[in-house]
Amino acid sequence: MALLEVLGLSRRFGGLMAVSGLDFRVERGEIVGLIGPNGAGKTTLFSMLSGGLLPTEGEIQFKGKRLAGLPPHQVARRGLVRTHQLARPFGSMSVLENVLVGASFGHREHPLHHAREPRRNAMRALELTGLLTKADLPARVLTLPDRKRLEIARALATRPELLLLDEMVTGLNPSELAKAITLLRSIRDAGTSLVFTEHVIKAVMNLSDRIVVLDHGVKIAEGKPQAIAQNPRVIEAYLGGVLQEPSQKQRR
Amino acid sequence: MRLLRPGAAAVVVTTLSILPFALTERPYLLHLVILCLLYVCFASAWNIVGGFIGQISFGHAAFVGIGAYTTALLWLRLDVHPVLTMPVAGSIAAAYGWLWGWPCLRLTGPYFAIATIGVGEATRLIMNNLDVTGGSSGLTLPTPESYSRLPDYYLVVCLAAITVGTSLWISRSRFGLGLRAIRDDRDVAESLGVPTARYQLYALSISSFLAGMAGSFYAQYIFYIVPEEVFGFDLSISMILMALIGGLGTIIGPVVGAVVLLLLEQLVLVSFPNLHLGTFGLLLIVIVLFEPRGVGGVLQHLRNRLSKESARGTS
Repeated sequence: MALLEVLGLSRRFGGLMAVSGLDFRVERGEIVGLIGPNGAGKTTLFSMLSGGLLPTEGEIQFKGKRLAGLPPHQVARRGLVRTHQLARPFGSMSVLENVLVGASFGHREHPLHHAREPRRNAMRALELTGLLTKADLPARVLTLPDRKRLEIARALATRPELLLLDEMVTGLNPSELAKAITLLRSIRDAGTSLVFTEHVIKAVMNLSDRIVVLDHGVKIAEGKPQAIAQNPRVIEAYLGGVLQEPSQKQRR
Repeated sequence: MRLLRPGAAAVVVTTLSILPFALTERPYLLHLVILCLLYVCFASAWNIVGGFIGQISFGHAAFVGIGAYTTALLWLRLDVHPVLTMPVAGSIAAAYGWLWGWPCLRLTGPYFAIATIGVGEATRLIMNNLDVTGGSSGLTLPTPESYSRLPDYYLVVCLAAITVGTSLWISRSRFGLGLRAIRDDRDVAESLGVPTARYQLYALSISSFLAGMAGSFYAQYIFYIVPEEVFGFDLSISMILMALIGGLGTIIGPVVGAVVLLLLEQLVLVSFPNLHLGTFGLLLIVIVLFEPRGVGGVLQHLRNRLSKESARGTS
């Protein structure tokens, strides 16, 4: 059974089909890259998956159970958590408190819930994201890369099974980018599946096990990174069909 | 936290318990102390919604009024001892808060504020035109033959302790963490698993419960209630003012704000009856401009500086 299964998912805004008839699935332990030009429907899809937006049509199954119609906090508690495109720390809190919110609320309580457990999970998330030394700083003073780390740490503290990352590495410099990629890999290795949207193609190619390409709300391609890079429909969607590079094809 | 330091707590408890005996010769001062503690209840109760989740309510007088009228009616019609009516008054106010909070708390910022003005004013108008509330001439409660302020004093001390204690408990609990998350960013809080709709309703219900109890005390202390006052817009405004002046979202803020407002009222109202609103307005502007954390924030600032200097002195 797939971890996440999306069947015929559509969302209409007035006359615009932001997402239309989308099918895709995520297996456990997989990293799926979601790409597409601006307006392709990536963020709309994330909003539907995380419960913030009701689909017009279609079905979302997470761990074999229907997800559509649940409020976001219940989706989060079932193990599907999203991060936001613009890092949005809780401004009045310290870094640790920010993460404690995720650790205290993002998981269904065990009947023998231990009071110290949220704190332990929060510290673990801070350690993994390299924020441990900044735990007591006010979150609003963090730099952009640290804010993004905090965004991830907060989501990780909920102990999710599937993490949706919305443009997590956009805006990072090359060395920060390399660090971020290592971090995301280690999160997957610790057992959390990832779906991420990204414009930084290097990161997508590097990180994804599989890539799903959206254009105008429709899935136009899906497959391994190498296959996607050479898919003519993908190149057309991104470059408007100008660059077919016939000379290269002839040389081969 | 300062409030729970055993030394400070002991000082507060001792002062509050012997205070009335120091004031036996000056009943008016005792009356002011009682009013001040009642204001603490008003401001702290309001702060649970306005400060903790950042939803500015302009309609909290509705809860005070409902509390006051519940007590008055139970006392007059069914002869229930007024102190026993307090939890009932609180519960009915809380139910009322739940009722209108359910639709209104979906709104945020100015939209919520405007909705609460509507609810507060509608409540006042309805109460003003009902027979059961005595309409605009209000209700007069039975005054006892011999009268001592002592029981009222201790009652309001307990009430203030319950109100401030509840705030303190909330601010340290998981619930309080959720409320802060909601105040900072409701959508992000929701996406991390905080049940934002439910938590806001809980906060409003607790806040209205405490405001209702304070209203109940008002009725049994003043012996006369009229809708224009206990449901009045002015009352809602002073609840906001006290919390803002003292420091929004803190524990000590509403307490400080209540003292400041009472002192100002007494000092300004006596000599310049028309100036007190202007003074509050001016104070509010100064605070918003220079110290958004309120008088409590200023005190905290001074304390930090003092402790830094003393640390420098010893080293």
